[in-house]
Amino acid sequence: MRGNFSHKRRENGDVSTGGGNGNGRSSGPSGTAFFESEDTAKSFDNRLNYLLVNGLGSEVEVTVLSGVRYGGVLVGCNPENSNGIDVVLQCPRIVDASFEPDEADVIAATLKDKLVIKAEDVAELKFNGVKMNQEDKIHKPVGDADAKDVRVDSAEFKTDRDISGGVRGKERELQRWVPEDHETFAVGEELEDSAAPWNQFAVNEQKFGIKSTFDEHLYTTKVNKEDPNFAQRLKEADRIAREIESQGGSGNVHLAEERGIVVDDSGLDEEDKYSGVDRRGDELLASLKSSAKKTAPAPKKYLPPTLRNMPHHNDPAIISSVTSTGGSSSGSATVDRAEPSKKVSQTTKNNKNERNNRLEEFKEFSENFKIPYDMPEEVKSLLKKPEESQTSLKVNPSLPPKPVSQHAAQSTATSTSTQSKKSRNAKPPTPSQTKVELRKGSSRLSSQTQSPVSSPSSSRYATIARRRNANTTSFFGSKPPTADRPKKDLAKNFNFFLKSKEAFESTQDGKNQVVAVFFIERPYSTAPTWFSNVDHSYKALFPDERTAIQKSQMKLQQRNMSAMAAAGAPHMMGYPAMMMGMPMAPGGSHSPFVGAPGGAGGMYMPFQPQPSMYHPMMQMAPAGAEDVMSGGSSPSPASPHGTPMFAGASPHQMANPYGYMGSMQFQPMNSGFRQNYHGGRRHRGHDR
Amino acid sequence: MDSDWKTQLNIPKKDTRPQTDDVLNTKGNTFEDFYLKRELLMGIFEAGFEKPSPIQEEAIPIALAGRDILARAKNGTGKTAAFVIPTLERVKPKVKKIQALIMVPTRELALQTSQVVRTLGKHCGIACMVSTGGTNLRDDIMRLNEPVHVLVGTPGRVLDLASRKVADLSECPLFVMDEADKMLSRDFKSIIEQILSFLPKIHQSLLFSATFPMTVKEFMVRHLNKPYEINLMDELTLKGITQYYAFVEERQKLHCLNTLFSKLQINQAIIFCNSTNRVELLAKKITDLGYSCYYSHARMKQEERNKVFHEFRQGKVRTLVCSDLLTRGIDIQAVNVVINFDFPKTAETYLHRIGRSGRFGHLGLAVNLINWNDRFNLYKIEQELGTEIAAIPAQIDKSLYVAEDNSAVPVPFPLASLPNTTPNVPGQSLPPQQTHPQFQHPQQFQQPQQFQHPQQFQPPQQLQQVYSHAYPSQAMPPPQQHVAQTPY
Repeated sequence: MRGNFSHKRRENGDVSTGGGNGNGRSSGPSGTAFFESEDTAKSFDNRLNYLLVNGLGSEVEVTVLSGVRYGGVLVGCNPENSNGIDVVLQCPRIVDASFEPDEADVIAATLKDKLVIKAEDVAELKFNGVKMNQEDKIHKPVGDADAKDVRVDSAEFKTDRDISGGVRGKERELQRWVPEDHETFAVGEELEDSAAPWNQFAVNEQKFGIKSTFDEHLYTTKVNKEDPNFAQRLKEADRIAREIESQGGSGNVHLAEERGIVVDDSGLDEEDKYSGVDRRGDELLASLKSSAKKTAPAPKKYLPPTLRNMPHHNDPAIISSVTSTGGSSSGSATVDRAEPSKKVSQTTKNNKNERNNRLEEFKEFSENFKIPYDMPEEVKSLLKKPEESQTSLKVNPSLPPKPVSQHAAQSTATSTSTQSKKSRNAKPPTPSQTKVELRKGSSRLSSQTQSPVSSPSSSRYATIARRRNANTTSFFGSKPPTADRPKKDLAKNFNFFLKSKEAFESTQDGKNQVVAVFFIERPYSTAPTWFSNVDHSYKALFPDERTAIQKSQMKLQQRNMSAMAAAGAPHMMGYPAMMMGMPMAPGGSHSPFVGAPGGAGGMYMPFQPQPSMYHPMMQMAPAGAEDVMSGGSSPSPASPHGTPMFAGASPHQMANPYGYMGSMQFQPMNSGFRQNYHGGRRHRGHDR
Repeated sequence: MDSDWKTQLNIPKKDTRPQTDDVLNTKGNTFEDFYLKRELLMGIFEAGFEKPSPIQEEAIPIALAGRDILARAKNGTGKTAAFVIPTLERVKPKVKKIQALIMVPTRELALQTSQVVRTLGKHCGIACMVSTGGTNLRDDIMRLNEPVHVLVGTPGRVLDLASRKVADLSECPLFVMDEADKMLSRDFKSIIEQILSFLPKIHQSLLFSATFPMTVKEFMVRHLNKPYEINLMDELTLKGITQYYAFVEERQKLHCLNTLFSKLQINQAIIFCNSTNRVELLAKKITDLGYSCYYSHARMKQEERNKVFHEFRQGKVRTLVCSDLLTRGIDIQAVNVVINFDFPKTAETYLHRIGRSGRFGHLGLAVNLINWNDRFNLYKIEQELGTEIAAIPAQIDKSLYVAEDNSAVPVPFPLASLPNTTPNVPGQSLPPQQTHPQFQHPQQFQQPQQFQHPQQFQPPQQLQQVYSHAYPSQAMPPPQQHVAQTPY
């Protein structure tokens, strides 16, 4: 690229661009160097302009006729000059003086901030590294992956966390509030201590003379009662109103609320409904959670929302610390010191109460817990079968002999199985059997409470007995399923397109003026199982293969470390209490791997650093390690779990993608289940 | 009239309380720079607005240009007016159709937003209607027989009205969502998307909120057209609010609250509880302690909720105990203290709760009662907000949250404009009588905020009479006066 790109005739001064190499002509009229049609000239012109526009702001070198070469940033140029191109350089310097250096110094001394070179003097204009591509301009050169991420982030609308940076708020010792000594206030009074409904308007008017002046017309428009068609319109409005209000809630709390339908929303508090933004993605888990919540009785005492529906909120460690610190706070201390003995007895009583409460809660939970789905027939029949096979398992001679209760259970079980053979319909079992079971269950519970480290044999037996004894009554309650119910047509009943069409048509018929939209609601959606909202692809969130391998190696190391730390770590205190109440206690973890060296109930087995544990730990450790992290609740940013994108997040957030502390506390249970799963399976193999 | 219309305006007394950069950091535009119609400007100035706040400065011109907006700005920095002003400017009074739909998550917020529309649009001849659940649906249907220009409502009711063609949204070019993050939360989103199907294909959307805990990218891609994003926040918490925690046992909370009441100089306070039951019980306890107090939560009848909301906004009651129903958006300028009797679950709830004080860049105080079980949540929320909450000191500097002059704090309805009040009546419905006068600094009694324009309805000497009638304490200073001034 060189030479005369312009249709303008240049008397002197060539403009050599794009390197200025090759056969740059020295001088002379050159109008005839090319044959230029109008079109060619124009296109050359355009190219030159394009080059200049893109070159603005870049580093250039200008050679003037005297031979001196100046370097600088091109800040302006004027291609309109008939003699060529005027050039303005910012921060000019001399690149090549081509004479004796001393003359160059003289020139350099005169250089100022800007240098204007007239077109007549420009011999050559050389651009260095001009980006000619628009793409390059927009997407800044991407050096590494990090830079790329930054760009993406800044382009998106910022979330709260992006703004806050989430750096502060470390765990720290909170400073206790101390009431002032001279104050006299009924100490220890809780809100729930006195509960009586009251009329706020009456009380405030009587006590403080406050009267209401509310008038809805301050806020909204008036109903026009002068309208000649008023009566007719009223009737019509009435009809529509009734129609709307009889619609039902469509499964949405807000719709139901606005239609005046009272729905059971005890699983949601007003924060969920009106203020909080639901971070949960998993519909199934949400429905499980909320349906489980429904059955929980309203707690008599206030619980912070994060802890509601969590039977283990009365962590013994917490209770004891609360009771002890409670005594030490100056306000109540004076009272307490007078009767120390009484106080002690109270605390023990409290503890006992707590324990009873907890047991009650567990019982209620297990009794009321329902899976929020209809059970398919296949599953129901599956559930019935084990009942028959139970008997054979129960008389396993390897079991240690047990007194009467086993006998009873055995005989009744046999009788039910014969019954069920006679009539395929599962009859509700005799009351005597359930009684036996209940007694057995409770005796087991109490024995466990007294000695958490029970002997291997008894715990083993207990687990089996509990599991095998499952029957229809205990499982389904008063409504056992019957096998002869007509099978549902899968293709029809589970096709949600058909279903929603049906539903739509049923709302349509007879009310043709109702123009509703046909709207198929997705029956459910499964959110990603990784921590994120729905908007990111998994590719953006997970490391590529190589880093993943590195991570897993790191994790392996960490696992070993944390397993060491976990054994006997103080924050596992709440653990036995919880296990005790679990329907399937991990007493059955006498797998070949665990049983021999551990011996003691196997409660903490997965966390003990025993070499023989290596294999099971492969499966268990992720959960276990997480427990340690979250149980310790130390949001140290340098979590070894941290994949790159988690780097800033605390372990909380990882263990617990919903932002609610609650789910964190459930973690230990998970691992309990898992462990049991392994243990249980092995048992079965053993027994057969 | 033409040239001196500004002198004819009925401008309320200037609010002289100090303000923070959250609202002062502007480019220096005036409302007149936006070329708004005269009637609208009159409404704006008569509402006591002087200059646009930063968010108004950013959003109004863009909204007037017809672009979609996704904006975030801190609590109480003028977001409502930022979408109401362009709404009013674009609505044509002569077209008898719904021309703007404003969606909010709660009924009280709908009332309040509608009131702002009506106040600013006082001279525009625009009919603004509220439609929320809990009110008589038949009446709402009747109201829609008359021309309505702006419809403010909660999604459930609006969807019902729109799907039966009672509310005709087919020519509604403007769709506004306040508290957009909540409105796009899972529980509301499906309703919103159904409502959008009744709007014309080409419409303008304005989305506003102070918090965006999750991205709303999916909604943006599907429903917004090249939205102009405004983000005026480089931090989440308001500059004017001082936050403290008091680490207490559960059973000490009442005691602590009582101490706060006696020590703090509360103008108006909102107290948040986490369950409706506790809301009622606590309000009862507070009245037992001798402070006037209303409560509100979603399980009450709507008439009662409205009453509570209205009276508290008018400043008749000092204390309001409520659930998270009133966490978002509620704007009561006189509130200078927020107490979290129970600590919330999520960061956005926390932020909105404490944002009930320190409105429009003014000063405020937030006190959190933290019990043993709340502590991790405290850390979590601190982390999410990038702030650290300090322990409550024995003495709280008054300059952090008490204004010297409370006389001109705006109330939604100046008494004179209330329909059922004659000049002589206000004396009977004055601010609460405190049986514990240390609750408030006695000086403030002499200048109750209701009397913004005394000259409008009452000659001064008569006014004085009313004062002395309503406040016997003025003639005979309360003996507890020294209590309020003793250092803690």
